[in-house]
Amino acid sequence: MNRRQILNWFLGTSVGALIASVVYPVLRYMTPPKIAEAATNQIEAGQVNDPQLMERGYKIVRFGAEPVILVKAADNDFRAFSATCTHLDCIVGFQKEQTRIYCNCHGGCYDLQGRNVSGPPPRPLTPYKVNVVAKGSEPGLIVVSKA
Amino acid sequence: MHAVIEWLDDRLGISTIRDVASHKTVPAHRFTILYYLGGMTLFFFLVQVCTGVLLMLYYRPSAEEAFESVEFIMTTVPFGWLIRSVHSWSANLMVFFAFMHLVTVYFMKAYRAPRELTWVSGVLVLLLVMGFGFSGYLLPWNQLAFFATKVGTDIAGVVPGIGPWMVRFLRGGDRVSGATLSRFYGWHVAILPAITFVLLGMHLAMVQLKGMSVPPQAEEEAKSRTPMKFFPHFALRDLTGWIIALGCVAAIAALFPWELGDKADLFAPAYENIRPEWYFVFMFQTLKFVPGGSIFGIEYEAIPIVLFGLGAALLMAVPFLDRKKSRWFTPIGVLVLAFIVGMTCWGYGTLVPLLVMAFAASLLVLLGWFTRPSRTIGMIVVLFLAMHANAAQSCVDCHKDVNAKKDIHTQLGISCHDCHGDLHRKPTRQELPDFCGKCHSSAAFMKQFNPAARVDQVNEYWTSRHGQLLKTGDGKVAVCIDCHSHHDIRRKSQQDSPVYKTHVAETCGRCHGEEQARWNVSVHAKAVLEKGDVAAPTCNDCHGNHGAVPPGVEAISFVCGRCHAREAELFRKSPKHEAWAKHNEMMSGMSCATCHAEGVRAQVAVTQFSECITCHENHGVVRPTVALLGTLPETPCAFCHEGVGPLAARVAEMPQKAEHFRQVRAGLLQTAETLKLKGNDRFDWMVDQALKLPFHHAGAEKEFSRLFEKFRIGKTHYTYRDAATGKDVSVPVRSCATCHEEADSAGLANARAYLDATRGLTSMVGRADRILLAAHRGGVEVRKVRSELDGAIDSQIELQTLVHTFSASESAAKQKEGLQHAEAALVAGQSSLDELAYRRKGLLVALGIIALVLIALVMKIRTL
Repeated sequence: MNRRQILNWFLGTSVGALIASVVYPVLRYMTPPKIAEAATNQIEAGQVNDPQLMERGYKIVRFGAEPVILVKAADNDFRAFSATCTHLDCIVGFQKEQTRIYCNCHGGCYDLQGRNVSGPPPRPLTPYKVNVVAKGSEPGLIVVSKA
Repeated sequence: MHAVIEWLDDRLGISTIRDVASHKTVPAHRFTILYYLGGMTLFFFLVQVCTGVLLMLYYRPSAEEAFESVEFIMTTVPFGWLIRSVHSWSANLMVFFAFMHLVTVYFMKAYRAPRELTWVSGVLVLLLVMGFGFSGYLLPWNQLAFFATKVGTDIAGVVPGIGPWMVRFLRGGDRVSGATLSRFYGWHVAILPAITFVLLGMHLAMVQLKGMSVPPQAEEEAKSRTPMKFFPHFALRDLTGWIIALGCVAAIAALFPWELGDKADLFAPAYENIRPEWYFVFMFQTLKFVPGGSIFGIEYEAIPIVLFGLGAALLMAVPFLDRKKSRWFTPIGVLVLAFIVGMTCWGYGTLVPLLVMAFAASLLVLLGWFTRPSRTIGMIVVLFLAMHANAAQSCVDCHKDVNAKKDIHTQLGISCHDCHGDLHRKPTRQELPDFCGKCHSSAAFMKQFNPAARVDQVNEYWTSRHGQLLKTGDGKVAVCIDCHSHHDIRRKSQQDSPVYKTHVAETCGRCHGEEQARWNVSVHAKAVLEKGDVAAPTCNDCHGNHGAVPPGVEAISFVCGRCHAREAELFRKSPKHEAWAKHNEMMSGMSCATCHAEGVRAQVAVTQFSECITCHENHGVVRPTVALLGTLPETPCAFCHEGVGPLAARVAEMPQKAEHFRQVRAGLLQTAETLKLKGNDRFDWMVDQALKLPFHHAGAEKEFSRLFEKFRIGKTHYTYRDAATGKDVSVPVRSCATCHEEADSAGLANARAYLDATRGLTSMVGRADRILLAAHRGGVEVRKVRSELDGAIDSQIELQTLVHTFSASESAAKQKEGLQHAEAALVAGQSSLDELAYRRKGLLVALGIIALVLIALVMKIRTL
């Protein structure tokens, strides 16, 4: 290795290190920082006679930052699942006539237990626990909590 | 590798570019170094593009979110502080180098044919760069930016004809609002970059096409020297400059991160000394000299603005004006440059006196040059005669010592005989109140001047201690003229009136010298005289003015409570208040000797307790300190040097800092020992030393004093100069131990518990503040963490107020609350310091790498 080659190697390596020292902070910068979210364990999802629930048979509620689908399977039988389709992150809906949870994006189908029954979804929907809290003469309050 | 290059060459024609580059040369002469300035500007422009694009990843251009998103970048995003700081610093450097480039090109006459268009495009790019600066300045949506934009866009309004339209066009509405922010964002990231890319591309292409110009001064030299090859010789040197610039901007950004400021508040008053970015200061400063008013419907302000516009147009037209190679362009350039530099210096307040003197001297020289001596003498004679021709026969012809020109009565058209009438003599002191009262007690008369004027002053005066003594024939007591003066009476709201807030103590002090001397050292005097706080009390706020009497013993908490409402309320509810009332009732008309046998002496002679002033004194009310709460410990430095106190273990401080403070403390104690200082002397000495120490808070005595004051760590004595004797009098601060015995008093035990609570919280808050200050000085954004500290300080202030409850349990609860905040602030402050250390190390590594690259580049250049 002659002097010129050594010099070129030295120049190349140091320039490489310089590039790395620029790229590293830039990459770190571009990686979004994790922001702590307040943990949600339980939410109130409205009353049992909620007009939306009565009419459409379902309702999408906020569970912290997550969407949760609340389905009225029968009178006084409410079920809640994560509303995020396990296929590609779309938000699912409910088809009252077919009594199924359905994802419009790619036709994923779930039954009222949240199980993936047809279409591309690979896994069932995560279930949530539903309780109806009665308050005197008022209609019951639906409380959704983590299962 | 070779095959890949060949493949790319076939498609991109790299070899053609290489051929062109290898044939390109740069003239070599003594001004060659100036050729790098353009490249340097380009480098900073590229840095701006890269960092600007990165900032767009997190920035949200709306009035609600802009500031928060920049704060998020500065505090939460990894290296966000670096990217934003580099963007801000590099922007300034870019403008600086663009100016330098312009100036050097101008003086080297590089704009002459055939490079006229290169010059024009360059000037346009400079204007665009200034546009970038102006639009980008608003984007963080902080106070400074908000006002700079308000002023900057408002200026456009005075342009004749299109002004109002321009303001609306710039602001996106009638006022600076969220709409302006969106608009400026659009200009900053889309419109201006698009135009700049085109113009800059043209500029660079023309530089390549026409090559570097040789300045006329160096033509001979350039001919005699071999030109430098552009590639690799010039390019590598350019690269070296760029890498040095990178190192510099990285170091500046890491050591002095760009401040975030406070969020723009559309309804807050502007900061003091608000001014635009430095490159607009010369225009800003010029505009300051323009008086308000208008001529032919055009505002005066429009003239310099139009002239600046014309100046920019002339600057662009320079190559076309200088076609005949005139010699005048160099001196004109020097003058313009001197104007810009001079105005900028002026704007920043440096060299101002020098410039004023130069201006005055030039004015005198000019006047001397143009005015003939005979005319000047003539004018002086005429003026002299005019002054004397007007002299008519009046009282002042004889009473020459009476100068009543500024007297409010003279100004209202009331002259000598209106007061003195046929008396034609001075009223006696006894006559004076009614003499003034002739008018001032007459509602009918006073209504002519001020329907809201008081007319009860004289009646009130007769109820005052002054009035009562005057009635007894005491001619020495104060009457109207002693406070208001005579023949030179001003309104009380006039700042030169002897009864204006800041002069009241001085006026009363002419008789009550000792009280004034004591008030002068008080916290109230500091507020009135030093801070100019006219809401703080002076003599008449507690004693009244015309009806001046000292407030009675029971009334004091009401008088003080007008400002210190919470303290007074707590005190009145406390058991102490009731007990004192009973004591005072019992002691009325008695003394200690009434009950105690002769020979038994009280520690302090007390017959009646005067509420607030029992602890705080009356005139010399000093800032309440922990010294009030009993005997102070032998080593009071633990307040500040908490590394050695019982709190050391609670949150670990950086060991070297704790050690440093231990050493400082040991040194101080040793010196105090050699000076043979004991007890309170030692404490006072310590306080003085602490205020003088240069190494607290990274050399900032001022900040330390602030901290010191904030925590009420004061001296145990205060000193004032007695006006009568001219000697310094040392007054001890009254503490619990002044009256209570050390061992058997429950009150003292209570005070000690309170002292411990205060000390505990104070030292925690002190430490947290110190750590946050260090982190802030290092450039770490600590705004959010400060809110925790503010919570702790609030608790601390409340704790200080709670002393008036005399209840240990209430103070303990408040201390606990404060400690929670302070600990949270300490933990956050510690992580800010860790972040600072990480930044410093990172900078060191980066600079090391840059140094290596520079060495390699220099070696490479030498081998060429």
